[in-house]
Amino acid sequence: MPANRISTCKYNLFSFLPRFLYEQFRRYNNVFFLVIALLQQIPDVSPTGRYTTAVPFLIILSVSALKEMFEDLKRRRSDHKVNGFAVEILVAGKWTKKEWRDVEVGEFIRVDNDSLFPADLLLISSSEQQGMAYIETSNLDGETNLKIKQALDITSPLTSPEQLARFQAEITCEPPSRHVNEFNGNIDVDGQARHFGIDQLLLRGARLKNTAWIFGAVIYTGHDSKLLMNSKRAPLKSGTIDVKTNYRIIFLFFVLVALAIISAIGSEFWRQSNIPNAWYLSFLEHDPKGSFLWGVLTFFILYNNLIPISLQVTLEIVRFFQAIYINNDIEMYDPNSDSCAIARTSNLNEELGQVKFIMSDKTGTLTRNVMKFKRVSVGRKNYGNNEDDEFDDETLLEDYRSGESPMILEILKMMAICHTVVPEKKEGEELIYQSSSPDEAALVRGAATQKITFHTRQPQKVVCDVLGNDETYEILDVIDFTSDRKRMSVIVRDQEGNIKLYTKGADTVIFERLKKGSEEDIRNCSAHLEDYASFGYRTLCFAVKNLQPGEYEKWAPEYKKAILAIDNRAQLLAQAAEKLENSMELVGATAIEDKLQEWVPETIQALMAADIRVWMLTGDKRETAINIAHSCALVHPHTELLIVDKTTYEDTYNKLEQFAQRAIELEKLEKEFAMVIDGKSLLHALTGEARKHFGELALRCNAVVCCRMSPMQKAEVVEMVRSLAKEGVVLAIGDGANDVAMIQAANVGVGISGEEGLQAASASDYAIPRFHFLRRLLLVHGAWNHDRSVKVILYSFYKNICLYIIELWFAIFSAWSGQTIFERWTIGMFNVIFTAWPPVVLGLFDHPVPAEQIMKYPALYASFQKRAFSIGNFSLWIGMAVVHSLSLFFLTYFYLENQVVWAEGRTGGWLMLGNCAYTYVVATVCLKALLECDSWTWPVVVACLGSIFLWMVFVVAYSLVFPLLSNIGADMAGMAYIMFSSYTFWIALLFIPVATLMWDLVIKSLFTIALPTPRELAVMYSKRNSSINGFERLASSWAANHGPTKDAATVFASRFSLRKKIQPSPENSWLKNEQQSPEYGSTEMTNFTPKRRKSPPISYENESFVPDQQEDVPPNVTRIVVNLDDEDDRIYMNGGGGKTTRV
Amino acid sequence: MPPQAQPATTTSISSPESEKILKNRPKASALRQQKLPAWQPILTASTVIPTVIAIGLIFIPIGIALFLASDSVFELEVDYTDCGSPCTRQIEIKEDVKGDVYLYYYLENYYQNHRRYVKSRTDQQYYGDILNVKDCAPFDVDPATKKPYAPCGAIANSIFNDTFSLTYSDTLPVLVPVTTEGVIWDVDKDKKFKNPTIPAGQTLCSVFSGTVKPPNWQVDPCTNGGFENVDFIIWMRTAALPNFRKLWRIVNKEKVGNADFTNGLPKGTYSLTVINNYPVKSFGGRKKFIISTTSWAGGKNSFLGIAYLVVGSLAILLGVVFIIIHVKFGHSMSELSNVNGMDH
Repeated sequence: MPANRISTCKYNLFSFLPRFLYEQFRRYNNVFFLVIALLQQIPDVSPTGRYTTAVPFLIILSVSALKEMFEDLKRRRSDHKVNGFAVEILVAGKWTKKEWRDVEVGEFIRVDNDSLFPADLLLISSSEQQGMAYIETSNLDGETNLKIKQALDITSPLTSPEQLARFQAEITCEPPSRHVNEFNGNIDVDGQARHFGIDQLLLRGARLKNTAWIFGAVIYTGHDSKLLMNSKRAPLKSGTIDVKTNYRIIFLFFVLVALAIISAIGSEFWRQSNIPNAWYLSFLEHDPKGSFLWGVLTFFILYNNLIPISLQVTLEIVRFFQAIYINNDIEMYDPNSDSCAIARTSNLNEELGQVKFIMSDKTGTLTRNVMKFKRVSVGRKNYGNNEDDEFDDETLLEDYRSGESPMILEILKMMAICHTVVPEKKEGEELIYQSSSPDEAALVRGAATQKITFHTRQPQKVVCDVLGNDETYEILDVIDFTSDRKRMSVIVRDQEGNIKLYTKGADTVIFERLKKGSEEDIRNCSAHLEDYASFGYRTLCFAVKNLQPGEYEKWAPEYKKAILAIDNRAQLLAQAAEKLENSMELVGATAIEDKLQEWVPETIQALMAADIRVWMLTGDKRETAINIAHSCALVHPHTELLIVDKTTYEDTYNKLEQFAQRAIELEKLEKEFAMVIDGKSLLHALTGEARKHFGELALRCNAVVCCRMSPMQKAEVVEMVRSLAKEGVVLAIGDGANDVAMIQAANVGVGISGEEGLQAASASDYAIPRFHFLRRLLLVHGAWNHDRSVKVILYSFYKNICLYIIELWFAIFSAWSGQTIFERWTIGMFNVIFTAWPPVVLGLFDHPVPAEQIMKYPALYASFQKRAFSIGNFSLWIGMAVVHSLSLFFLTYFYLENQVVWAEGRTGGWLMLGNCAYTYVVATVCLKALLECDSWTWPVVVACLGSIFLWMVFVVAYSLVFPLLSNIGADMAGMAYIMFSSYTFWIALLFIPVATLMWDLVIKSLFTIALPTPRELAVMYSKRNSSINGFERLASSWAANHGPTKDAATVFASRFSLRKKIQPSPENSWLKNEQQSPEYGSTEMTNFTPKRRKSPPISYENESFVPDQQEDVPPNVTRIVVNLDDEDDRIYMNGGGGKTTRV
Repeated sequence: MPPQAQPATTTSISSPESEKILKNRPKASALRQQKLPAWQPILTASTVIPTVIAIGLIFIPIGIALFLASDSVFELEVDYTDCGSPCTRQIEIKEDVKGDVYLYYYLENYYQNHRRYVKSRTDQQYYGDILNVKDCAPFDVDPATKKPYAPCGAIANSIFNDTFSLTYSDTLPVLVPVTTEGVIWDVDKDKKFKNPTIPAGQTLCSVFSGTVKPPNWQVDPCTNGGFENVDFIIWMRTAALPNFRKLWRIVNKEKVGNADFTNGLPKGTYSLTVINNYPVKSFGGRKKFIISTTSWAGGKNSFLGIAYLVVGSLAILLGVVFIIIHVKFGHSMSELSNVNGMDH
């Protein structure tokens, strides 16, 4: 295959069958049905003929195969499209149009503006000066800002095909790897080696922007390219429900074996005592196939359908469409980014309804990652205020102009120079800054508002407009930011020729590298930094060092060497940088505000009300983290914070032990508490004995804030919680590349397809455009899908047992011979035709509770988790199935005992009993689906009643087959007329299913009346309050006046209400309240779950969130709780409107 | 709801970029948005009381009708298992039996539904493909002559071979006239049992000549209607349960001498004569001869009627209980729920 052709398909024409079969037969139940189908081939053993399992099994496999093919075809189509993209390749000195698939390593290709790179390329030259090129990498990392790439100076003059054709070089580079941000290679031109790195590498999938064309040399093609190296499939996660279902199936398998053995014993007894006397059966006396073991086999085949053959495929179909619901939910559609929620996997749909823990990233997930420069501390003075949307303090420049503080200019210049931002200027438009770091862009913009405008970047040079005059700074070196270094530096030569080191970074790393005598500055700056952090701002410290003549020249070669190194490069670079970054002078510090996403506090409130514990995992510092936790309502002002910030194992251990005690006390006092732990302590807390204490403590806390976390630590925390909370599902949500590990480690990973990038989204199971959609994703889709899938599974078990256990009752009356009561093909088609649709519609159209209700009363979510797939529930359904089958069989038995059910006096024989019983089973099972359905829509009714009708149509058709096709259908010949011509058949069709199901109805309603579930209360409540018409209005007005509905609604309201102050006594007040109450912002908290502590009064007024009151205030108002020690300073801020409310 | 929360944002972006095409916006159809009009059944007293009472009100009249129908049926059984051969039994009929009168034989503890027994038949043979015996093992081919049995199979081999004659002896003894007309289903006559086509100049027996009669048979099938023999067809429609009746004959509505059977069986004394061939005692079976009329609902079986009455009455009773519960306890529901660990 040509080097650059890619294939992301799972199958090809030849591998499809073996691979598909391999995948299918890794499932136990498929192996089981294969074995049954094979056993049926033994003559005289199968009671149901030879193909009655094979055919439905093949139908089911074909449905699965179709689904696989459909998915693979989509991949193939997109591969084909990609492989066929046009590209220009240099052939014999001329650009020749070819397709992407033809590109090979070592070739030169030309890429035009706005085109994608077909492979990983070394940038040779470009249309721009000095071989510069701008690229957009949103396909790779989701970042939409432009990145700058620059060709090496030895290749950048090669700007014509002729020159290129003559150019020869040898490129050495590292083997293909997944690292998108690292690359090292050397290019050897005429014996002279030059290093090139990520700055010269153009990755496949990126797009050329603002550059007419580039020439590139192909380095990695096809599956070696970094894009494809990274497109590994996410680890396959399977839901807890699947695991449980498998256990149930294994259980049923043993039941099946037991039944087969019991029946075979019965058969053996009957044989021994009856066959010698029954002359008409004497031919069986010495039958080799009559032995006990053959009997077991016969009954094993007879009862095999106890294991629902269609369950797997039904679930697959249901989940497939449930995922489509998620993708199409208009209430999870974000018009700003024109994107919807995406279910990237469908087999975790129901896990969304079982979530107990949410692990949330902070930056970009809870906060917007839209950075605003807010404040600056310079010259021991604090500028700016918290009220303005952006920094707007005229005193800063006034102070500079008055000569009070020369450092002011220095910090503004640093903000404008010390960064990697790229300005983008289009004719007649405003300057746009492209940056990989939103903080840097905010700083550059901030500097621009203070008249220090960075406007041009050239290689090795930046030009700024400083108070009206252009100043050019030569960039000698950039020492990049890494998470270890926590700082970045640039070395610049200003117009006077002075060489300066500009460093910006975290306070801790900057403070320890300042020159002696900076203590006063540090103290002053720290106070300001603390102030900033208390508002949840992100802070950066700035330091400068004037390099002595010669100092740079001495240092530079060492740094160059480190850059060229291929092994250990990062470490060498850090070491080299350390030699320069010391004895610096503190310039000041900046504060950047990261606004909260829309509806974050409301969403967190709602999720916590749904009895979900929310953890915030962030790389930020503790103060920032705690303050964001306050502002997003994760913790409240009166919540006791248990802060673990120890640096040694011993201390951490002791602290955890002490807090574990404290937590128990607080729990008794019904007080809220939350844990705050930082990365270093966490390292200890996760090891050895401490892990136990940590886990215990963590599971008790309402909320946990983990700060200064590395991406791997995030994943470790997720795994720890998973292992501690065995039943609870852990959901991780994040938006950035640093959340990928966590997302993949969690039971369910949710990615925000937001601004920081698509990396998290593409590693996730579900991607949502906005954090607040999580509420709907969990409360509506999660709760519904879980409830539906559980119903589908239980119902599938139920209907199979209900039908096939009848064979056992019939065995009692058929000499334990293994004779079937039903016609053989009707047995096989039960799951594939007659009762295939009810479970599917249950899985697709059932709404256990209206979406509006569960959104408003999140406590319902927790109550749904209790309606789970428990052993009790399973036994209930199985017991019900057995009782129903007994009822159905014996009612039919007694109805047909006399056999003469026609006025013509004839008898119908074997299949009259079988077909009648079958009809009553199909009717009962389909009606049972209706009874279990919590919301009747037309597809549900059509599918359930249609299935009964379908069976009748089938009987008519099947009755006409014989003698057209050999021996098929001989037993069924004419049975439709025989059965349908009996009046009593129809009368029994009314009686038997109703009599069977009436007890379900009665018992269910007794429970509804005496012990209504929260779901039922919610439905009653909504029914009473919704505007309804016709019959419903009549019924409900009757119910309102007479029924317990009235009381139920009141009970529901009182149980689920958060507004304790409003007494729910007169029922009308609920209607009024409904009208007044905010639509989305309101979260009715609950005290429904007894084990939870009382919900706290909400610390903000819900009314301020009412959307229709926000005409002048954008809904994305940041609300920050300022929590200073002084009680009076607790201010509720309203960033957008500038309103300040004192509480 | 979130969309309501959006307007502020949407309007702010829509003015400069009003042409922005929202191509990914999901369609707002009721199906996709899961907003199909739905009715939520909730089993409160207000729904369940009308339901059960309605069930009761519908079931009881049906039950009465069915019960009356079954009650109107005349049925008389004569157990002749222990009788010799030929066996004669006197039957007293005290009232005139009006309507169509059906004559059945009845076997008890006879497993015509044994799997291996039921399997041993070849429907194609009975439909004229006379040499086809593929599913008839072990009664497919006669081991001695290597000729196929006709009719083949264990069922055919074990055909019921008692014969009955019913004599009305109040007047001059007359044989009650019987007919095979209407004894078998049309489908059996038309689609399941057909003799092979007889070529010109041949007889049924010559068509059957390549076969042998089943070992237990006393008469050659070709002399007795071949595959179209009514008794054979009746026997081949195997019973579902080990106690079963099979229709033998229907009383022909005609006058025979002084006896008038046009309205059914007149009251009086009858005698039943059975040629008692069929062995059932060895396996503990019983044999009966049954005289029965039918109603629109079939033979005498009061089960369905009684079941309807019982369930219907229970439904009414439940309805009443529900009403009592509702009236007595319904209003204290809120307190009731509060007992279960709720405040308020």
